[in-house]
Amino acid sequence: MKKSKLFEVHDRATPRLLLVAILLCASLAPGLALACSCASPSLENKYEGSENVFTALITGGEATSERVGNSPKLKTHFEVSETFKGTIPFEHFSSHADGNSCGISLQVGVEYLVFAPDSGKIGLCSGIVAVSGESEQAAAAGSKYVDALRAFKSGENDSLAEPWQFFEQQGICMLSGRFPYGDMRWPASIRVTYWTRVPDAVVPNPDKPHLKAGFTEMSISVPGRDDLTDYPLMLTVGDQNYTAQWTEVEYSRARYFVDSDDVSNLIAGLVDASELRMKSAHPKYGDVDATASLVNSGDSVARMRECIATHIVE
Amino acid sequence: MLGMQSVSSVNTLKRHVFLSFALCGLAIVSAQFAWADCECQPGSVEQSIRMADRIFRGEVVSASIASDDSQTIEFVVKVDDAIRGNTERRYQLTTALPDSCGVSVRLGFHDMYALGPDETSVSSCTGSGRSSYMKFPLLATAIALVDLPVSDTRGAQRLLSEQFYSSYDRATVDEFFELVDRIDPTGNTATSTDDRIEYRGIAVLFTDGKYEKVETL
Repeated sequence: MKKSKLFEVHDRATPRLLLVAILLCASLAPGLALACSCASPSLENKYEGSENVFTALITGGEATSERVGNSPKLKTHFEVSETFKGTIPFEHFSSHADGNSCGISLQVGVEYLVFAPDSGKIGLCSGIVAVSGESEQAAAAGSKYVDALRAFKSGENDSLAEPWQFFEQQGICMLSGRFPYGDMRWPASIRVTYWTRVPDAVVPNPDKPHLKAGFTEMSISVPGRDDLTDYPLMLTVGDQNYTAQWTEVEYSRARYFVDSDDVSNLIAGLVDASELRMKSAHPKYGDVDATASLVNSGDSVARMRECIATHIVE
Repeated sequence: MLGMQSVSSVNTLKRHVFLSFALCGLAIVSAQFAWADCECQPGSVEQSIRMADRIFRGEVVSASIASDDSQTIEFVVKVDDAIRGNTERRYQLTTALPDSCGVSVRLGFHDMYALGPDETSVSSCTGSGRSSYMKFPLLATAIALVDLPVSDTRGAQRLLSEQFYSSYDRATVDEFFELVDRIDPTGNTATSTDDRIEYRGIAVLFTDGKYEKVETL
């Protein structure tokens, strides 16, 4: 193609393309979400709620002539790798391939951590996660759940705390954790982001003019508390206290941010602590009192600190 | 009561919107991971598409890891849409495991496959499977366009008029024609100016950076 002004057009179009992508996502995904909306239970809840918990390699299967909508019902064969709970009294998984109706088709040649009833019926809401496959980072995230189950089964840990995750890609180091909050279907979450470089697509960002390489931000999101405004959240790690300022309510979640200067000390404190406590006393709408367990955080916290140290921006 | 229902539905909507963004984020991140971990030679997908004598969409109806080497997946695809060449009703194909650039084999999924002469082995670097769609969302349309006879400008106009929408911006259409250039076996190339792109007897017109219409020249 003769590129008379093509590249110039591309540069100018990038922010618009991003906007289009976001709008497209926003317009398409609610349909998906409405069609199949799963709760997001914790690892402990998934373990307690499943008769069988194991890792298995998907070895093949068949699409049957029975259909759910336009999608076939599936018989999926597997080989068990490691059992954490149950006797696995079924020879194949039963499912269907229509994701809009909460069906699932597991990828042949990939190993999964499976939560299944004795019937062998599985779906998109079963909480199944890949622990191998084409995506190394996704598999690494899945493997954290297997590590947590192993530590629980061996008695090394006495609880099935949600594992913390670490990601490094596209200019960021990210540490994230989630923890149950009351009886909410969606967990509360903590995310620490260190920007090793600010992607071109994000700059200029009028909502985050402070964003620059070397900046650390920590956000805490508490579900179902759109009544909490203006009151800070007090964080306690070991014997250190930090203040997270309330910033906004977004999608029914109260959001808090910790000052960048405090975050590195806070991360260092996570190494030896067993929990991160969050408290807020709201005079009208009641307290927030939540605890994020750090039992399964060790490797991820260490890698986050290493990532920041490697990419330190003076 | 009515007020409570309204608040509840607003909160439900908010949760769905939040979930939507979460899903989108997950999909985008997953797509990036999937593509990032399998490193293909630059241009390998486009070259394979140029060379392919059979391209089709089909549903995976059975699959198994080969018992002899445990490194290959054998699977059967039922063809439901022939895109290029004389295709059979079913194909028995093989691919490598997912961590070796094999295509994603999921029972009941409909994907596109491109086969060269006498070829029955496919990979995500040769235009088959879901990763090609992720990288080139308009790949099937680009193939259909280059496969039309050069003289069939009406057919090309009809094809693109059905595919393009007024919401398409210039960059999207530019990317489409860059792909077309790379897979066109005849060596025809598109030419671009501020408000139009011309290709094999048709012109795609733009107004204010948005797609407007396709005309024959």
